[in-house]
Amino acid sequence: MSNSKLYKGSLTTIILKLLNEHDKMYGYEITQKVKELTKGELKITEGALYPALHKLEAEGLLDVEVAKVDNRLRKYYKLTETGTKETVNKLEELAEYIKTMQTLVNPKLA
Amino acid sequence: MTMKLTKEQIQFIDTYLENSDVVFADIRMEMVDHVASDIEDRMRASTTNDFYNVFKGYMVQNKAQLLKENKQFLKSADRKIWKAFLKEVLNPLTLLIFLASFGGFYFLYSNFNIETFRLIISYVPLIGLSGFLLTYVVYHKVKNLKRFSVVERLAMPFLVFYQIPNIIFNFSYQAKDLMTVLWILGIVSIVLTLMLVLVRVSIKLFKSYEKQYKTLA
Repeated sequence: MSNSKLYKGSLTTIILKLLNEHDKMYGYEITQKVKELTKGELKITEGALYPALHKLEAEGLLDVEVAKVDNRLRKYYKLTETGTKETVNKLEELAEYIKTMQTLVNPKLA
Repeated sequence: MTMKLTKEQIQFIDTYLENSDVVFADIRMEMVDHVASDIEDRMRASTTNDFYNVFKGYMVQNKAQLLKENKQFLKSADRKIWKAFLKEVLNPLTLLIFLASFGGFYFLYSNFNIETFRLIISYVPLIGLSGFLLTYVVYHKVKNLKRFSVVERLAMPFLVFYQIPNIIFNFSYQAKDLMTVLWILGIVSIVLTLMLVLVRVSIKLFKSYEKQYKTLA
């Protein structure tokens, strides 16, 4: 995933945030959206994305819907009610983390 | 310009992944969509319409990552199984099955000699295993459903529960007093109940896969 292990721990938060802003998304769409929003800075690989999606599904945070699109089956992911609540928690956690890191890295800005 | 792969090209990707040991249809289905979407984007962005060259280029860059995903998927499959299993265990019907099993075994113990009783206990693993195998055969051979990761991983808990009655059978020689017999009946009834719960879980999973994948394809 990308060029830094720093992003690894945020993948779940990134997925939840995107799905919170869209009704439903499929795996490839998520990778392209992240690439677009970060102007190519962050590229999520299949090896990182799909295990994260399946883990969230197994935990009940995501629901899936399979549809036939363009000669193949496509699996869409969307947030469950629990997933929506968890998104708020994860975003708060991430904001707290960024604030703490800023304090450590540059106390003048804190 | 909209670039969409043909049915034959999609099938090519599917066959390639299956031959690369991505044997479970649910995992493979998602991979096919991802690979196809990426290839469509590449073909749209390039001047070439040569699917096979673009496909080759894609696989050179990404095959290792794709196959890594395959292994990780199985961990999620196990998690799904145990979650579905726990949900069924907490179903009130499970308690009824246990009570019926216990009552049935107690009746057998009370009305037959110890050797007949031990023989019946020895058949308990087969009851559960037969249930699972029958479900598997019906959905694969009769309904022609493909292999799905979550269903096949069910074989592991079945094997665990299959062994427990065999261990009990070996100890049943020591069943001389009523308390020991009741313990043995209780354990065998629990194991039989859990195996039947697994059969119920298998059927529910097969049905959901049939609804999700077969009816759409």
